Amino acid sequence: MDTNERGIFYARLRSCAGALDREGIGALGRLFDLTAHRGVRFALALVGHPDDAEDAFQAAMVRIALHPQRLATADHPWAYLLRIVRNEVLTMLRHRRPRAQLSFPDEIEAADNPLEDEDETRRYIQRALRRLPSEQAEVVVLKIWEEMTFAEIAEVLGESPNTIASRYRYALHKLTRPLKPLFDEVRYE
Amino acid sequence: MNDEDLLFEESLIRPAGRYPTLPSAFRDRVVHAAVRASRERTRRRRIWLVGSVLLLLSLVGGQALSNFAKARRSEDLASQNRAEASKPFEKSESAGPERMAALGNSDRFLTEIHKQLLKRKEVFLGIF
Repeated sequence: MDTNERGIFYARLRSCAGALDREGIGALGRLFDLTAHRGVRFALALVGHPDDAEDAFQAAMVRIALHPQRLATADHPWAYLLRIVRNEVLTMLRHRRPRAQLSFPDEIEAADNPLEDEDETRRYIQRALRRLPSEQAEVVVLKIWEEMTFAEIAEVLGESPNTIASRYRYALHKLTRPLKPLFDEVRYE
Repeated sequence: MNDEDLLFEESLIRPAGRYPTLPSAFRDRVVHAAVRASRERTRRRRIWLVGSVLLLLSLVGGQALSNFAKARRSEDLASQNRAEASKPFEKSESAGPERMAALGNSDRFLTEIHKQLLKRKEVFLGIF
């Protein structure tokens, strides 16, 4: 997503948030269509299981539907929405043992040739991300997949941009070892 | 890890961020959950509103009833006082037990003085 696409996405999000505030719950479908995939992807990176990610996103949507004016008046609606999703994920993790910890064994070391097919590569990287501490994984997701700046990520996570930058560096450093097979294959191809 | 490595690692991770496939019913589920929550909130607000109005009415009603009872009681007292005031003064009625006791004490005091004086008179007469 380039800067222009991002600008368009933010403008559409602001428009949907305004419509939800003015027209009520009927406009929630548009907001869902615009944000669901990205919101669930972010939740999935934190919680590790698709069902939990969907539940967290659903809870976030309900919260937004109950207080639409807060999203409509937010300085940065996307950061605000992601913060709600994150809070719902954290609430969920506080109340029950995350399934992700139960269902993801250490398979990363076992993958001999992760570049064999694209899906396998993607799963391999996602598993590597899930092995990171959640505060580092979320920074990587927001920086690389959401293409947010450190300042924007700091707004979502309520930390200083310097802290976010450090976490990002630590995270990439930690990812070096599990991603080394990919790293080498791509580099020497 | 230098900047080139970082960029390379980013470029490796980026394609893995493909959007997840969402179940077809997920949209309906989310919208229905939001509608249900919104209705529930409206219902709860209505209950609170009706409850508050009832509470307010009962408070105002209770206060009014209490004021009415006080007014009736003071009116009764006033009419009783007026009736008392219009009656003629009678000693037996007006003199209370304390006053009677005080009068009895003074009578005894006077009798005692009288006795003493009589004794002194006898003594005086005895001398002369």
